[in-house]
Amino acid sequence: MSDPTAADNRAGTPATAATPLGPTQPTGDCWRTIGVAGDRSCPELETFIHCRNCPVLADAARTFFNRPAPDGYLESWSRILEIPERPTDTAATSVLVFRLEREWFALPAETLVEVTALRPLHRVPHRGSGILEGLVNIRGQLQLYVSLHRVLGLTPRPSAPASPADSVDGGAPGRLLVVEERATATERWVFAVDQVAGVQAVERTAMRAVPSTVSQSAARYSQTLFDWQGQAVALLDEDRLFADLRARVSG
Amino acid sequence: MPRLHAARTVDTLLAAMQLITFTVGGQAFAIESRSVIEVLPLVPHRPVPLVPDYVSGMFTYRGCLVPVIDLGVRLQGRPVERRLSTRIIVVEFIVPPSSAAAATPVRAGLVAENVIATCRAEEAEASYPALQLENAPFMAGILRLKGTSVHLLAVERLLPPGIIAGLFPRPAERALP
Repeated sequence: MSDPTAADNRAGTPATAATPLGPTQPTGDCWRTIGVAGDRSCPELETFIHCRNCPVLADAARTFFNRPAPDGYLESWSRILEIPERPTDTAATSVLVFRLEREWFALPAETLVEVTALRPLHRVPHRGSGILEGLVNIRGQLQLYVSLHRVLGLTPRPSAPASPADSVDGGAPGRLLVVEERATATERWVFAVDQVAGVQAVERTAMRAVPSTVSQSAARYSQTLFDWQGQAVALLDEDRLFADLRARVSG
Repeated sequence: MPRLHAARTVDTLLAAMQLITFTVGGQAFAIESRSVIEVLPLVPHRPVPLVPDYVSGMFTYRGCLVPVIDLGVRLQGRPVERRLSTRIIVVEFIVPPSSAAAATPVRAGLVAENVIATCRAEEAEASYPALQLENAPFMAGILRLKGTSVHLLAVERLLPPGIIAGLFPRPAERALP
C-alpha cells in the first residue's frame, strides 16, 4: 500500500482539472439569501414559484453530487449491504388495526371501506337495546351503526358522541369505521372505535392461536393473535362477525 | 407536448419506457429502469483476478456476491471518476439462453457517473434505431433528450456471452461443498 495510486488504479483516477464532471464545490447559495429560505426577493420566483423548480438549484444539486464521497460513507454502506436480504413473506396479509377501550383488534384491510370522523347518530325508535345503535349518514347514505364494543363484550359506550370533535377517552380521537363484507360486497356496517392505528402488514408466521384466557365473546370472534408494537392484537374473523351482526340486528 | 412527434419516431415499446440516465466519460447513456433493482453508492469492492478489466470486482449485495462492471472501461476504455454521483446501478437480467446459465435471472452492478436522474422515453424529441455493431451489441438505440443524444444500453448484452457464463455459473456449479 506504499503507492495508493497504483492500488487504486483500476477503480478510478484522482480528479484532475480536465474532468468532464465539472467543478466540485457549489458556487453560491442564492436559495438561502434571496430564495424561499431567504427573503424571497429573487425575481426568478415569479417564474418558478419555488427554488426546487429552478435550474440554479438543480445545478447546485448536481455540483453537490460531484463531491468525493465523505469519509466513512461508502464503508458504512458496505456494511449495510453485507446484511443478507430477508426473504419477503408472500403470505403476509394486510390488516387494519384499531383499539376498543384497552384492547387492540384487527380486521382484514380488504373489508375496510373508509375511516371517518365521528358524526351524529340517528336513533331508530324501539331499537334502544341490542347492538344496533342507530343509523349514520355516510356520504349521503344511511348505514347501520352497531356497537362493536357490545358485540365483543367490552364495556359498552353510552352512545356515539354528538359532535366529531368529541373523543372517546380524551386522548386519541375516536373514529368511525365503515366496513363491507367481502363475500357480498353490499352490506356495510359502521362502528365506532377508540383509535385507529392504520393498516399493517402481518406475516402469517407471526400469527398464533388465541389462548383460552381471552374473554369468551372476544375469543369467539378472534381468528388469531399477532404481536404489534408490544401489544397482542386479535384478528377478528370477518365471516363470523358479519354473520352474527346480521343475525343480531335483524333478530 | 413532444409526445405526438415522438410517437411517430419512437417505437411503441420505447414509448412507455422509464429510463435511468447517467454519463460515462461525459457522454450520456440510459438504461431501462425496468431492469434496475437498486442504485447504491460506489461501495468498495474486491478485485477478481484474471477477469476482463471492465469487471472491476465483486461486492456483497444483500448477502450475495455480485460482480461490478465499470461502464467507463467497458464503453470508453477509461475508469469512471469516483464522485458522490458515481454509483452502482444494481440490475437484474435474464441471460440469453445460449449461455450456460440459461433462463435464470442474474444480478450485476454497473458503475456509471452522474446517476442522479430518471426520465421517460416519450419525452424524447427524436430517436434512432439500434446500431448493429458487432463489437457493441449493447447499443439499443439513440434518443434525443433535451438537446443531448442519449445512448440506450441493453443491459443483458453489455457483457459477451462467454464472460456472462463465467461470471454467473449455474446454481449446481455455484454450490461448493
